[in-house]
Amino acid sequence: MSQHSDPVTGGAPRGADEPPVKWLTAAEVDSWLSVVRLMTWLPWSMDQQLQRDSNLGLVEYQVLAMLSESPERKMRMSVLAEVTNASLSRLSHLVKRLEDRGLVRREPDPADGRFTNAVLTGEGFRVLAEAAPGHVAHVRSLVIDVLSPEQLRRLGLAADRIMSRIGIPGSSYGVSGLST
Amino acid sequence: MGRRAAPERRYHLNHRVIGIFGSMSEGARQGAENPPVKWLTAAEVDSWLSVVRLMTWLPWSIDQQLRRDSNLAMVEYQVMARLSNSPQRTLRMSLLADLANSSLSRLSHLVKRLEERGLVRREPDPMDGRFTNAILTDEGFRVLAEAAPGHVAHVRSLVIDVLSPEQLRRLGLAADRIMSHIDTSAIN
Repeated sequence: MSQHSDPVTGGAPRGADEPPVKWLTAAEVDSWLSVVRLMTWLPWSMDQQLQRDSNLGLVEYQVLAMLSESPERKMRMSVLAEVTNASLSRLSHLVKRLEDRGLVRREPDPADGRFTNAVLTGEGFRVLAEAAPGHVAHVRSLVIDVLSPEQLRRLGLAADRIMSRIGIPGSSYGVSGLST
Repeated sequence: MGRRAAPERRYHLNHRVIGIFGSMSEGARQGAENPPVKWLTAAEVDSWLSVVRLMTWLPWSIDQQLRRDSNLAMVEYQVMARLSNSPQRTLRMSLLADLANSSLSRLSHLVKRLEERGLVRREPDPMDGRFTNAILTDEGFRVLAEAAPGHVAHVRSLVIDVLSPEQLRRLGLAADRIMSHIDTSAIN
């Protein structure tokens, strides 16, 4: 345990009745701030490339990509919202914009009319397929090709390990009938 | 925040779903006149999707904790933390925008909200009145210092303590390497 005078990571005075804070060491702070920078800038960069070359936001691309590989290229809106980490209302706006562009359409779930499905259109698939090469090239140039295969593998493993600690709400996901 | 089994399902779904871009054959989508696309291998797709999930959910989790326990968004916390580490707890707005990855106009809104809560104030740079400085107030420092222990504990429980020191170091190095290839100049 190392004490820092830096209020990002430590040094705040604590009352005697509070448990001691296990502040981060200098090395831990360095690594954490590197991760924070990555989380801040990598999605931004992915989004920039997609906006510029394909007129799609990163989340829009993700939605189209997920629909493209679902059976009949359709998914329930509620499931899409969970997977993309968007609230249902935010996702509705996003899907509406995609719908206005003819890339997606919405329809009641034939199996249960209380639910709405989003369906990828033929045009949506075409736009996605056109966007994919540039997206993949960008991912390659920023991430895949700047790390050795072993470094990349370790990065993925570290990410998985962290993800396993993040509790995600809406665990109804597991029982929403989504079989993969 | 409890640990749940649900993410496993999510992983599986995402994997399958975005796998299209790793496995789709070139011939299916490339005209003869286009340069061949170097699609990702299955192993590359796996690792990349792990990174994507992290980018999606880790900031969200950090943000949740700060909002719940300290009524601060993650980017608000970052801005205040930057200020607290600066000489005289002061930074030019333009510099702060760079650090917080936000356009100057988005940052202005954010700082205005912090200003209304008395956590930050703005004033013209005494050295050059064309610039505006943001300054962390004593109240801002107090709020930040109160938020820090919970934030640190959360970062520890999700990231620091689940990796060995060597794994954490490698993670930071990989992040730095990727960052060095990102051109951040287009932000404004």
